[in-house]
Amino acid sequence: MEIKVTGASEITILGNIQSIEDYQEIKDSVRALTDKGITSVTLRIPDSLSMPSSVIGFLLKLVHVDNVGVTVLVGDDRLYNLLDILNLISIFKVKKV
Amino acid sequence: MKTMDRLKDITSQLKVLYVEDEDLFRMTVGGKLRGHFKEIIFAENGLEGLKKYFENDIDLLITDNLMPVMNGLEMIQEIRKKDTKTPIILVTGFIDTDFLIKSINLGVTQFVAKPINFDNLFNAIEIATQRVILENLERKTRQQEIELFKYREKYHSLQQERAFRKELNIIKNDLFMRKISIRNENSGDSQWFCSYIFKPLDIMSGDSYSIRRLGDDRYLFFLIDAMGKGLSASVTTMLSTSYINHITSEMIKDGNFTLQDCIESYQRFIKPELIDEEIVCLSLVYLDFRLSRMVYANFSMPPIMLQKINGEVEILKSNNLPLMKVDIPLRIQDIDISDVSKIMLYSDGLNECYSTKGELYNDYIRADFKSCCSAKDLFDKFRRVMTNPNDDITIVFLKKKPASKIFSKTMTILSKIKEITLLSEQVKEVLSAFMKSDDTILFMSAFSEIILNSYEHGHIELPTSKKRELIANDTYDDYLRECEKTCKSCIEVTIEVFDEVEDYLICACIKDSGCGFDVDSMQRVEKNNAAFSGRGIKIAESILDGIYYNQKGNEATLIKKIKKGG
Repeated sequence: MEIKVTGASEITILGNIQSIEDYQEIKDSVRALTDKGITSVTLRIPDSLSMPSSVIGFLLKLVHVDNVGVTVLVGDDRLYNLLDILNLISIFKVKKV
Repeated sequence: MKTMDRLKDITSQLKVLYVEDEDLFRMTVGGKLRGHFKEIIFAENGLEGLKKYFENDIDLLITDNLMPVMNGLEMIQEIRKKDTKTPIILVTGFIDTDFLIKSINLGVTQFVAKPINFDNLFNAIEIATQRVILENLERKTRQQEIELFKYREKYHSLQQERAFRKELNIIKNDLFMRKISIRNENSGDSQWFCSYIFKPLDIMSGDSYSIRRLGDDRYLFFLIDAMGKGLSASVTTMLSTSYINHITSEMIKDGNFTLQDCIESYQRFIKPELIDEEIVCLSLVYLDFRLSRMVYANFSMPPIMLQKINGEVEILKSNNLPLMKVDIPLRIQDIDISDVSKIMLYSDGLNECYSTKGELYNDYIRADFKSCCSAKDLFDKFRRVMTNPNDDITIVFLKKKPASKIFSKTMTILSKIKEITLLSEQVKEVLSAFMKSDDTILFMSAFSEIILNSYEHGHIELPTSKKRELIANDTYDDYLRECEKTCKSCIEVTIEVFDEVEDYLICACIKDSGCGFDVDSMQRVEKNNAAFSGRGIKIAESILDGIYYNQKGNEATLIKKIKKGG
């Protein structure tokens, strides 16, 4: 997995999100944005087939506790379907790209 | 007087604009109108009248015609450009045909001749305002209807939600996400995996099921489908499920369960409750896994399907008529299942479903049953062909863990994140010999969720409430690192691969030394996404063909069937 900052409030996550280290990296990258005062972040995930519950939990905490808006742009149908099964499409404003 | 009282009833909520240049008339008429209207607004000429008309929400206009600056008709003309509905009473001493025609064309509602006769004026007001009242009433009624509709929608939605929760509460599933492990000195140890699909079409389902643990590796499985659609069938189904579960619980307590007694007790209960011509279909299966014995009574439900170890599929057709008000003889059959590897019960919503191309799923069901490893697996196949089910669907699926494996490896690690990461790499390497890359990635996502669940509940014994608190405070990761310092507990992972003719069956067993995960907590419906626990299990469930825990909850078996050639 590789993370790139691709906008003032956007990060792109390439490859599959799988391990605990991946979760930690994503968390640190997003925190780097929110610590600057950004109140809405976009995660562009073109490749990953799945998303660990730890990442989902972190994003939910951002939305519900830290009041940070989250938008997730997904490339793979399987990840989109997973987020749909978990009823997260509207809360993360998930879009297929 | 009665006319005046009646008029006041009509006009007391209305706002009137009275336009008259003569002070005396304004005072006199204004005095007469006072007390009949909610508010009276005065203007001295047509221009002022026009201004005040559009500044206020006027319900009735009473105007003189001959006035300086702008006369009454000119004012009315301007008003009518924007408002064609407000009633207008024209008070005038001058009437000729042209004037009358012009006034009528401008939508003057009533005329009152000068000098003003107040009876005539109030008659004119009464006639003019009736339409306003009616329109106001219509608007109010419409608003009330909308409010009532919204309230009813909300009420019905709440009722439906509660009804569905009640329905789920009545269903008992003692094997929810669980496997059955049987110790048998004669035939050797074995495991059975039990899965189900419950997909009601409406909130109140005509289908229901339950799975009850009778003790000593004995179980009762039953499916009910009250014939007919709608609430009547649902009520019968719910009554039946509730009663059979109750009588079964009583029999478990007394230690004297027999299928015959259970059915006869249920028949005595349900017959008086059935209305004329009502019938109930049900399928009851008693399984003693230790003795490899199956006892069943099928009352016109679809046949029970069995698959033998040699691959052959056997169909056990209904052996009883459906239950109805009249007495019918009861037939119960007893068979040996020592050579059976799969059992499936299902409702007719499955096999009697038609596709948009007119294909009946009954034509596919045998082949799909043969190739599937769980209820979810079968249902996924079903949905690929049948996109529009039109009935409730219930499936109970039992699969025996195959005896002969082609690969097995056991790994034991300390319950630490670093060790879990290294172990996961080893598991991935093992599986990539059997699976395509994408399948391996997805399987490992599921594996990670379950092993981390094991880590949390096994080693750290972290209750859900504490976890939420740590996450909210952003101290969860630090807490885990701290707990690891004193870690002595282990996680054991066994990967097994079985050859199932066209497929491989992958079984990954994750066992921790902790107190176990509360599997039954997954049965509770959580609506609040922010507080939702068990997300990891849901992710794993969506990827795998099954996740089955032991009774304690500290051993999880992950099942995935993959096509050979990956």
